Amino acid sequence: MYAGLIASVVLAAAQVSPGSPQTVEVLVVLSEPALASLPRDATADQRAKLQQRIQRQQDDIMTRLAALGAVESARVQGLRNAIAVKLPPAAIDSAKKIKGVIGVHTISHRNRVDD
Amino acid sequence: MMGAAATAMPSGASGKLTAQAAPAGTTVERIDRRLQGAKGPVDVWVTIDAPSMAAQQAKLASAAGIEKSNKLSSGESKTAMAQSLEKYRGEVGAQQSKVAVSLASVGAEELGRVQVAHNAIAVRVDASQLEQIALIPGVAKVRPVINYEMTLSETVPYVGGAAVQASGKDGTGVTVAVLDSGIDYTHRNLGGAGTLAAYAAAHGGAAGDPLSTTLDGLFPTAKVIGGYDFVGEAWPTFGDRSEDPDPIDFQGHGTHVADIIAGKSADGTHVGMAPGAKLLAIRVCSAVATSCNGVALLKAVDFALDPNQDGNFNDAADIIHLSLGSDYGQIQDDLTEALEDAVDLGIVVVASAGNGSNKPYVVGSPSIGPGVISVAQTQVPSAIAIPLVINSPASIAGTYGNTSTVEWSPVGAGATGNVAFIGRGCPAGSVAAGSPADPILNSPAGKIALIDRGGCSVSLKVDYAVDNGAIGVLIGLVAPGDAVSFSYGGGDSFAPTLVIQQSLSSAIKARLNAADTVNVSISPTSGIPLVGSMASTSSRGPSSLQTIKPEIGAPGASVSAVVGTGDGEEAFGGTSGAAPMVSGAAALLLQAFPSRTPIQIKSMLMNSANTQVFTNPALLPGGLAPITRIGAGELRVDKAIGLNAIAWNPDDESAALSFGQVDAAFDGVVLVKKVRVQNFSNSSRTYSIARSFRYADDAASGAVSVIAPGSVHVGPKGKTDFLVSLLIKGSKLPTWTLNGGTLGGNGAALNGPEYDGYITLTSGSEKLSLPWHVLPRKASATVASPFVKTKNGGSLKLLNLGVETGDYDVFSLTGQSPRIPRDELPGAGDNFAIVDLQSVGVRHLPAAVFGADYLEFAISTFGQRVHPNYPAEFDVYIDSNNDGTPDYVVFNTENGGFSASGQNVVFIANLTTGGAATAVFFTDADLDSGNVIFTVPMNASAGGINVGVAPGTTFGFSVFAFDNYFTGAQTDAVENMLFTPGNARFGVAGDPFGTVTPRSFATVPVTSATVPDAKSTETGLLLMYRRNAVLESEVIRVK
Repeated sequence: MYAGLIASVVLAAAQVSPGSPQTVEVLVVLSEPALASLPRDATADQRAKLQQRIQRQQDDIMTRLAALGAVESARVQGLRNAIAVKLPPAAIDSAKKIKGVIGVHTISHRNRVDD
Repeated sequence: MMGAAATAMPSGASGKLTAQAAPAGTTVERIDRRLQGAKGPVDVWVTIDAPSMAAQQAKLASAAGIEKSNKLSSGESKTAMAQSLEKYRGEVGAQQSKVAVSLASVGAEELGRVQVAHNAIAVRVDASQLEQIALIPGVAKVRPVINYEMTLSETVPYVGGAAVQASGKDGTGVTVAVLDSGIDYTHRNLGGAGTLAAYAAAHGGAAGDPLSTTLDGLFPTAKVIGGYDFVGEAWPTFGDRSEDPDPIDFQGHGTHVADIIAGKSADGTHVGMAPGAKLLAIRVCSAVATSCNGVALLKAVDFALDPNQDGNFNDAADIIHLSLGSDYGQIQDDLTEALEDAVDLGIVVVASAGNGSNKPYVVGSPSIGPGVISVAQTQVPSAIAIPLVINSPASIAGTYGNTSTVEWSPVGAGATGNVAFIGRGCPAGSVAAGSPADPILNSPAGKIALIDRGGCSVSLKVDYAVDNGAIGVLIGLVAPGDAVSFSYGGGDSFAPTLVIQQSLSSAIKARLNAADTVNVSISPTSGIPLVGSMASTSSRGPSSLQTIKPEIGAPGASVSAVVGTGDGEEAFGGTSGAAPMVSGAAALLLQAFPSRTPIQIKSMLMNSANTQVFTNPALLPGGLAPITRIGAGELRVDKAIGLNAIAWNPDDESAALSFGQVDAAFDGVVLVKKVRVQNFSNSSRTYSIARSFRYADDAASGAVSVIAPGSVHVGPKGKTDFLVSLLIKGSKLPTWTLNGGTLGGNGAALNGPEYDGYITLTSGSEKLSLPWHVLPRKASATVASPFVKTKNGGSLKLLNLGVETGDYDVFSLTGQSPRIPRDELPGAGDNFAIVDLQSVGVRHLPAAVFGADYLEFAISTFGQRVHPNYPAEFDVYIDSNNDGTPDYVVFNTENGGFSASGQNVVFIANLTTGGAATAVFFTDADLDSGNVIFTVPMNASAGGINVGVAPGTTFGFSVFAFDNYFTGAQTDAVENMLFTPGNARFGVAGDPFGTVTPRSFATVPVTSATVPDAKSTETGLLLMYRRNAVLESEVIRVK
């Protein structure tokens, strides 16, 4: 994208991390439903079981991602079941193929709405 | 190097009084003009000339950026910065102590000190001592302490907040999650001790201080009941994102926001919109930059839903507030999608619309989320515009409202005098290093200086004029357009200043040249109230989803808590300041009606809003603001809380009827929206239904008719639906003149084609209003008949069945790309965009006809973009000599950078020589279109910036499409195309463009020539249509 060389157009995207130019930060979205998928009147047991499934899947897939050179930076499970990782760009295609991974998205940063 | 040089204190800061320290006149300049003539005790801020801690931090950040390139690790930078800041803090404290001694020596009673956002001491002193204070070494300015409580009391009562509070509703029981830069929970307005010591104990006073990452027994508080820091102290300047449990603010944005929502001082003199509400401080925005981290934001939304992280959302916040986002919001944005899910879970979400100004489609995400409440900014009640009053000569006497003030040189008490035109007015060294001072054409001593804009900073011009004796300054623009404000760029001698339009400046100069005396007044007494009007910087819609966004407005610029000051306050503007008014209002409603859903709360706010909001009373007296700027109107929470019923559109999750953009090629276009009415009362209610247009000329045009039943009846506690239809007569619409090039950022140009108004339901004294909006484009309906081949070519017949003249452009078709499968396209929240190329064409505009040689590249895509700026960039790589190596790249981008102008322009970059790219033409691209055309100078006949292609010479080219909003990634390509200007395989006889009148046809003669494949990849013709229903482009296969 040529404009990126002359003007700040891209908002954020898969930015190369400071100090580690070989990695990009992405959000790896997983197949187990997030906690928000439970009905409002779900029991504590139902919640705990889903949390365990999410945790197990995140642990399993993080292990596989680590084998691709990924370093975990965050996990979410409320609205999304996903892990944020930093990994080599060349590993993204392999990450997409891991069973249980349903998407690998770029990370978008925003800006304060200053006056 | 972050050593002594970066942290050195100004010389002479000894703190001793010395009457010889300053040249004559300096003290007057240091004393704010608002203090002139003051008598008796006055409260003043004595500003010290060394930078505040925050300013110093910014300097160090900049310095660290340089050092990073020198391979210093971020850890080293961070440590060095912390050490430097700690040292600097000691120096600031020592200097303040010295100045305080001097202040005490003139009888000043100290009221407080601040170091973080400002470096100043507040004192109460007799006004007769102000000049002595101004002479104290190290004192930069003496300003009045504004009675902020008076100013604060403007906005909350104005929107009905005080009335609701008086009725006993203050937000008690409601929790608001503030996703921002954190909250200064030590501030007195937010339940803290309100002392500098308390802030120092919680934060330490410098970014990176370990205290800012630990709770220290100070958090949570009774007001700020929880929170977390998901971004840390270093990101993005000094290191990676990090997390810690302490969401203490350092930057200040979140503290302002929190105070406006729910502030309440212990003494009760200061109250925000919902002073009884509790807050969650969720830190996602950097302390050292304006960025808010994408990972932190997703974690923050999770935290807001489940603060105790037990997997159960029963402790979720009631409201999520975000004064943050990205202009030109796109639905693929993952934060927007997450917040939509939060709304579905029952959380009210409020977001600022953005400060992208009056540009079409600039409204930002996440506020464009259908269920999110998008907030515009209106003026505070006391705001005024100060016109220029020309007292004489009579020929130009009058009041001129198209002016602008400058923050750094306020009008104050104003000035009256004769005008002297001094020229450009740049002082020595201000245009370039060593540049001479501009000559003073006429002495401004004792007069009001008129100065042309240009050459140097405007503040230096004012400084120069005042140094030459001017008592006031008029900055005359040198190009047509509205008066604009200017930021500070140096200087310290100021006088009442106004910026005026070029036309007025020229008129004054003409009278001066005729030897007339021009006498003017710059006076606040002639100010034009701006209450109930738009802030010029508030972002305009509609959204990229073609919905009415922003949806409601509220005054920005409420005076609110300043981080790290203990009890300091100052105005906080923009939609960042407006949105918290709405979050606070939602908290009041949720206390009163805790079981109501987000759409019910949103509808209450929108149905009750004041629709009489104006654009700018100074520039356009009586001119109402369009719906795509103000949505439902201005917040009136006292009306909202009393509603017995609400009305909304369930499909769009808003109390608005967004009919969107439509191409109207005939006279019977019908669009339908549903209105749902819910009656909360125990008795049945009947509402009469009124349909209105925002503007009389829209109604009179007959182009759009609004159809709705005359009344609607709703049973007790019941719901019912009715339909509102728009009937559009395409033939009566105005000709569409919008585009994404020259007019891409021109909101006023959008006013013409837009039609908007209100549907108002009335029952007794109760009124429920819903805004409606449609953007119809008068359209042709042109299609090409099959190509008819003859010996040397053939012909095309273009048939236009529409109501608008059909404009067409013909290109040689050089390449095509298949449609990307649907399952590969992004959905909501996927955080990427696909720009899907369809066809590429090219044509040569020869010098013999067009005065110089030009190439034009036509690119059509599957799918449209509401604005050509985003999310698509197209790069055309041109191999001028066809040797296999590209020599130039031609691409489109927004003029000036992201959200700067709204205008899309075409650039050329020389790949051989490198260097900066040069803009050559505006992009020929419409709003709501999938077509773009690049016009490119072909060779030296069209100027020095060209792509070096000679007529008759074959060149190669490839077109690449990029997502220029989310990822920067290439999404499609058409490569290895060939074309020979002057020797096209296919073309048309005569101009390669034309028109087809409505309900008729045109015959386009097509030429063909034998051109070898080594010189051309043409396979036919590409027709690009403008304002054409159904088809935007059409491929005619000839080969």
